[in-house]
Amino acid sequence: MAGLVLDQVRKSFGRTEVLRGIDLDVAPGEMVVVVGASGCGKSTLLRLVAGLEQPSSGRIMLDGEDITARDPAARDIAMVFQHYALYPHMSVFDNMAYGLKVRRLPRAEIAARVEEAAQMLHISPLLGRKPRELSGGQRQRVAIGRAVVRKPRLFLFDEPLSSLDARLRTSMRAEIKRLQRRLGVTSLYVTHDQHEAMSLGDRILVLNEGRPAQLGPPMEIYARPADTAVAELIGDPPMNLLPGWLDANGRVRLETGDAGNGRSVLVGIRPEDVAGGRPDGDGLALGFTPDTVEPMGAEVLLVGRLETGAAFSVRTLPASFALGSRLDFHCPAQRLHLFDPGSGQRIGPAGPAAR
Amino acid sequence: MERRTIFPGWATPALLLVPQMALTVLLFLWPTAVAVRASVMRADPFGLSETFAGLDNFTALFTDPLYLAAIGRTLVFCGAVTGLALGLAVLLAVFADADIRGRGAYRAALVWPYAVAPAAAGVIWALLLHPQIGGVAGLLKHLGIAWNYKLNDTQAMIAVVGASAWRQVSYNFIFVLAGLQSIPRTIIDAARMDGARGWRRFRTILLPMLAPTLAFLVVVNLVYSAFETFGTIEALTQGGPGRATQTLMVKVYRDGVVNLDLGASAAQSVVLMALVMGLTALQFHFLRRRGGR
Ligand SMILES: Nc1ncnc2c1ncn2[C@@H]1O[C@H](COP(=O)(O)OP(=O)(O)OP(=O)(O)O)[C@@H](O)[C@H]1O
Ligand SMILES: [Mg+2]
Repeated sequence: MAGLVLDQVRKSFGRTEVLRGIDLDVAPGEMVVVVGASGCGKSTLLRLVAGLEQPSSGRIMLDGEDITARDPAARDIAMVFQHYALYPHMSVFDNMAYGLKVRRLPRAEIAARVEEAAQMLHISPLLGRKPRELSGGQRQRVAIGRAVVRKPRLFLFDEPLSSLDARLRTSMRAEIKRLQRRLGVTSLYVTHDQHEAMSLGDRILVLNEGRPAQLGPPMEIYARPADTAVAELIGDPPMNLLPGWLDANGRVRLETGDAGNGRSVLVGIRPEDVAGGRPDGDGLALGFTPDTVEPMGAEVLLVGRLETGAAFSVRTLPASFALGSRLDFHCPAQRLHLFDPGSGQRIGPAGPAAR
Repeated sequence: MERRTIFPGWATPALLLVPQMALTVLLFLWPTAVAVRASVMRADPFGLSETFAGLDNFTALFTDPLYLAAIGRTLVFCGAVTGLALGLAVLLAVFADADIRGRGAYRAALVWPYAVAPAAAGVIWALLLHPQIGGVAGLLKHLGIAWNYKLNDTQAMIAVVGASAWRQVSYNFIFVLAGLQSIPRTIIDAARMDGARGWRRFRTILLPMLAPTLAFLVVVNLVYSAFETFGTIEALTQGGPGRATQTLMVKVYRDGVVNLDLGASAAQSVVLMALVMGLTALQFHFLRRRGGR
């Protein structure tokens, strides 16, 4: 049994190619989260899997069956939309029951399923209401309930939490994860929120301009971003990317100037990998002048410039920092990420080791 | 933002209101008053003398089997025109809403008939339906149907209903299409994911979401078919054969202008006026509801 398989899926609208060859293999019961910048084709990918749109080429298989040409009605896939997309003229109960009625399930079975899902999502008291009488969070629960009652072979989520406020988003996130585990339904989840991606996904697929940039477990993607686009997308605040070069001895230099017989590279440093003081051993020394402090709660974010003039940020424990004066920081060598300045591809090192 | 100008005193505002008021009084209130007055008078055929008749004209009206028959006929006519015009418009709009090739041209073509005046529509259809020289008649004869709406009551009704509805389809089409396009695409996508297709999706999702638009259109179409089809009917059948297509509006004209029974005709006008007011109130009610959503 093979869950969901995408095989070289492409999609063009007119002359613009939106998806440029997506390969993906979602194991049964697995939750894969698709992240990417706005407009990179995430929703398009979901709509292709849903059957709302036809791929220009490539194949989509679900549980070993080729469903590429099937009508959405015949795919047994349920989808949760970004703006709920509840039927405004139906009660919550009818919204959830609609897909089952269309499939001609017995009345009693429909009622039982709706009630079970309502209980799971804590919306039992709302079953008689119309969508306009619900809050945003409640509407989203109903939308999720509508997908759950179907007991589909695949769940699709298109940024289901993006119109909720931050706190609600965090709690709903946990709830979706629990629900998905409990039901064990294969899921594809689209978001542009990296926290959501990290916390929800068994694996993450990073899309960049319609191409898969990287596919892997969240920590793997965080630890070894495959290219600069992934590096900038995953991690908060984003990774610092600095021009530098790799000298003949394999040491990383940030100093501007001639690379000599070295190789010019982009050096990636996560703000949280920077420590105070001068490096011991082969760490990279960073002469940093902070000009603002952003409190983040347990930590603060220092934003300023390096001696080389490049913008830089450091995430560290709160202390009283002398803004505007040069401070010594360093980054251990095994925490550096190196990318090719031309292609943006990761060139090393293989590490960093797990933290 | 609302722009307001405040004039001091009352003379300037009054002066500015005069033209509008004069027009309203001259073109609307005065004729209305004359009609209401005439409806409670009995005049001799030459208009030389009048006597007060109280509600006699109205009593006579509602006990007149011919008038009651005209009411029934008008109901059938209005119902048929409204049903046909709305039904066709919804059907055409559903197709125009779909992603089909050349839908721009298709939409434009459907809007054209609205530009044709009712009387002109009547003349066009009179030519098309003409028992001897009309294209439609020829076609029907080919199919073995003896077409002569000038002799056959039912065919006459079909002819005036068809010609009247034809023009209104465009108007309805524009509204229904706009209504369909204002339904969020993701709701339709959700219904597709839920497995609903074709007629079922239309009946359970699209139609309920179109309901406010349709309610408004039903009233507009009733008003149209009752009061604005006079030209079409006059051009086609003049209410005939016999009285087969004589709607209330046509009857007012027949009794008053042709047969010079002014009292009865005025009473009928007053009844129609009350009806228009009622329907207009209903129309505004639906307009407000549509606007409020
Ligand atoms: N029906 C369509 N016709 C033409 N272009 C389209 C269509 N749908 C999407 N696109 C284009 O495809 C690209 C990807 O769109 P898509 O909605 O998949 O992006 P996304 O990754 O979901 O973005 P967001 O995060 O903003 O939702 C965009 O450039 C968009 O303009
Ligand atoms: Mg999207």
